[in-house]
Amino acid sequence: MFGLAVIPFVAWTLWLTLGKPLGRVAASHWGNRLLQLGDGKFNDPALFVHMRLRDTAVLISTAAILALTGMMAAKCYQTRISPRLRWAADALVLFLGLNVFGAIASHTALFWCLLFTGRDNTHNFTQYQIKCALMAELVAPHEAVLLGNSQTHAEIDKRLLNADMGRHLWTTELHFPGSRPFDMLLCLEQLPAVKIDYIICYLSEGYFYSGANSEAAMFFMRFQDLGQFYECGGNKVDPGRYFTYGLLGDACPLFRLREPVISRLYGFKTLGLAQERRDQTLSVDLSERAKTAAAGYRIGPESDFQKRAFEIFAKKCQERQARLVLCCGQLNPILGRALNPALRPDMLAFLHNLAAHDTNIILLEESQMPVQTEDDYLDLTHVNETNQIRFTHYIETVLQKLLLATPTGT
Amino acid sequence: MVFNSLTFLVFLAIVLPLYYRLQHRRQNIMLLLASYVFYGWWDYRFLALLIFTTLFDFACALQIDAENRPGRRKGWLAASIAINMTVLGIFKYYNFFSSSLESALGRIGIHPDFPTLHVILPLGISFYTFLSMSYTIDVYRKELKATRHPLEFMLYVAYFPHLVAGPIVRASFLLPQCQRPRVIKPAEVENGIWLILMGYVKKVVIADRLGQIVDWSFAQPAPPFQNLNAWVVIYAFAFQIYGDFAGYSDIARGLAKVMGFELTVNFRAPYLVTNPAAYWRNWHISLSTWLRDYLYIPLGGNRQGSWQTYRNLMITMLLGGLWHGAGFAFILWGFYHGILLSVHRCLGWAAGSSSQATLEARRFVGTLKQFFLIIVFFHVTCIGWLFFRAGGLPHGVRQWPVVKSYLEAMFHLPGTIPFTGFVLPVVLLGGLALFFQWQNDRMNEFSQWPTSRKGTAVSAALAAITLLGVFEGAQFIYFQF
Repeated sequence: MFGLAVIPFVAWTLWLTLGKPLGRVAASHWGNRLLQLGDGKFNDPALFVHMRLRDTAVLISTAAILALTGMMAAKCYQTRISPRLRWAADALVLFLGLNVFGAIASHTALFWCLLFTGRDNTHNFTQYQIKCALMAELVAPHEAVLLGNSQTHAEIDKRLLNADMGRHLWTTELHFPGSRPFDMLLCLEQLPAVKIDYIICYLSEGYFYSGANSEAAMFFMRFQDLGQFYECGGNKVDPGRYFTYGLLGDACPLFRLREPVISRLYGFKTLGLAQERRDQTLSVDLSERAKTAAAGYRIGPESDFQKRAFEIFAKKCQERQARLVLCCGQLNPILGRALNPALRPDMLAFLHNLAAHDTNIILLEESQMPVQTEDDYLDLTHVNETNQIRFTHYIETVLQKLLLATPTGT
Repeated sequence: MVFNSLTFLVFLAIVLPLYYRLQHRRQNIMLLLASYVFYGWWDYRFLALLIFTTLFDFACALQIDAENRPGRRKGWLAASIAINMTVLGIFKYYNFFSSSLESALGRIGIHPDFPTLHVILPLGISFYTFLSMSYTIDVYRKELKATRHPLEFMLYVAYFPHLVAGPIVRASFLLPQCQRPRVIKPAEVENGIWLILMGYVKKVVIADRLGQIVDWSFAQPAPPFQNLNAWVVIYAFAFQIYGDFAGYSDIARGLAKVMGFELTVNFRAPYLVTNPAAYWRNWHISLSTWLRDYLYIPLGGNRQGSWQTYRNLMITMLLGGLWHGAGFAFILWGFYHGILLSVHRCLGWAAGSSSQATLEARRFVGTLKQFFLIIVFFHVTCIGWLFFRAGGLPHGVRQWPVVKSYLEAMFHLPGTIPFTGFVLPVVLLGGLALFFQWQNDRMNEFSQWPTSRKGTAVSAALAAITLLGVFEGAQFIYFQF
């Protein structure tokens, strides 16, 4: 027991005394290699190593403290409960301990880095968590965040942005953590408390009119978000099983870590097999696929729910003093034509109305943005690389203008 | 309602406290109602069918018991068997046989147009008809007195833990448990809780995860891999079906134990045996013993000379295959196992290895030959599983070409291509499945474990289910039978 009690002190003393020098040594030897591996997630290797050593101290101390607490708890209850039930108490304490460890570990970048298996073979939530955890360690005068679904990711290349203007504004792409406004709202509330100057979203009809059920809820939903859910009109929509999974994940952190751990343990491909089978059943003819997809887009309680969520999201951005850059984006014109014609005017009217009442919003009109035709798309939602570069350059000019207009603009 | 659903957990949270509060007779009434709710949750219309066959067999058994004239007794038994077989025939086999006959006649230029029945297969129909039928046969054989209480018999048939996927518990074993007040023993409750947890690990951690690999692979137009990698897919199915069915049986037995019931053991260590005879003493034991007692032995068993024995083995296994599903692949699977058993019998393959699998499992550690035979026989079993998996292909997919293409892929030499990413999950989860088989006896004696081991094992099981489980409510494979 004494040994366990000493471990945290030793770990933290070592970090406090050796953390910084070790970080500097590591950076001087392997700095470039680390930056290369980091792929833009951090830009100061010495700080990165220093903070990962801190994460190690956190994980070791947590394990030691939990083991100590468990042993003390066992001493307390072993005289109070029947010997026949002791195993159940042991099991409960152990399981609780594992969950607490999981909850604490999931707040460290090191834990998520252990689940990282390469840029293209790592679960989205792992990538998101790594990026989130490292946001606080970024060294840049201004920071921007790309928030939204895979369309935002496909339209804007953060590497290109950072290569061109990283010295003035560092952009973090959060690995498309949400596909709809309610997800973005949940996500925004869980972003680390760092100064974010711009939040950039590429919006299209998919955000508002394609329902309320979203996989992202599984990773972000918490009991404390229930109030917000009902405030958005959640009682009128069916949020689906992922919503319940989210709440389960809040109660039992191990459950929340399920997919990232499985992806690490069994391989990224194993987790995506069900989705791959669903994708294989899709028609190769985009027009056919568009007709099927369009049937799921509608105005109704779900779109009202998402719009309300987006209003709260915009308000929260303002509270964070982060300017909200909204691109009135589009889908592949093939899908656009298949959609109910009332959807687009409804979305644009909503965004214009929102921007008119909120000076924090910078609305980028469709007419201002590069034109995207059917040929610019790989499928119904994602543009090709040429168009991504074109759109990224457009966003770059917008951001440069915004930076120049700010009092501390460089 | 499936065991791996939130609805079932809510159902259990209502049923168990109620059960513990009630007296014996009320317990039975409540359990019967709960069992009907459990079954009706899937499709309440088929409850009528379940109740009809149950009451019909109940009445037949009473008549058989009361009758002294052998002809009449036989008549009532025939009526019971005929009704059960008719129900099975209509719901499970009619479309298969009519379409097979149509295509066979079509080849000789006759084109009949048999009507197609648009009926869905009632859940667990093969299980409860066999259960119910065995009762009337036992009464006919005077091995059992017919019960005069319909409620007890209805509970025996419909008792929810075993209703839809077994084990096929004999009336002589379960009916007395319905008739007399049950004693809840703390040690058995402990064993039950562990069995439930272990069953969930087998189902949601092993079977459903491997099922994703298997389903993906069989959904491709051609086998996605060659040689060893194609075997990996079949290994995955072998462990999936073990996890799925043994998991269900464990949950069923565990649930029964926490209510003071006992169900028969259905699985031991089927992949740690060296020959087909031992395999069938370890795999789906309740079905294999049912087939032995009600089909193989009445056919003459091994008492009428060699050829008759082989004939009886083949008939039993072919019908056993057909029991699993109406399709050529299942018949082929039964035929394959019939051949294996016949060859084993003929050659005296691995003579002396007919002891319990767990004993074999212990013995093989020191015996290289046993180890080698286990590996060989596991692969032999896997070939059978390929036929079985083909039987579960979606309607309209021709089964034989799939079997043929997989056999070609599995035996495509040389095996030089690199391993796919599926090797790791199959090795890890297959290893876990084998561990459960290896430690089968210990797993059934949870209450005798040291306290620290119990606590660690339970928390590890909970963590595995939470962290590695599949929670998409995948159905149990054996529900379709």
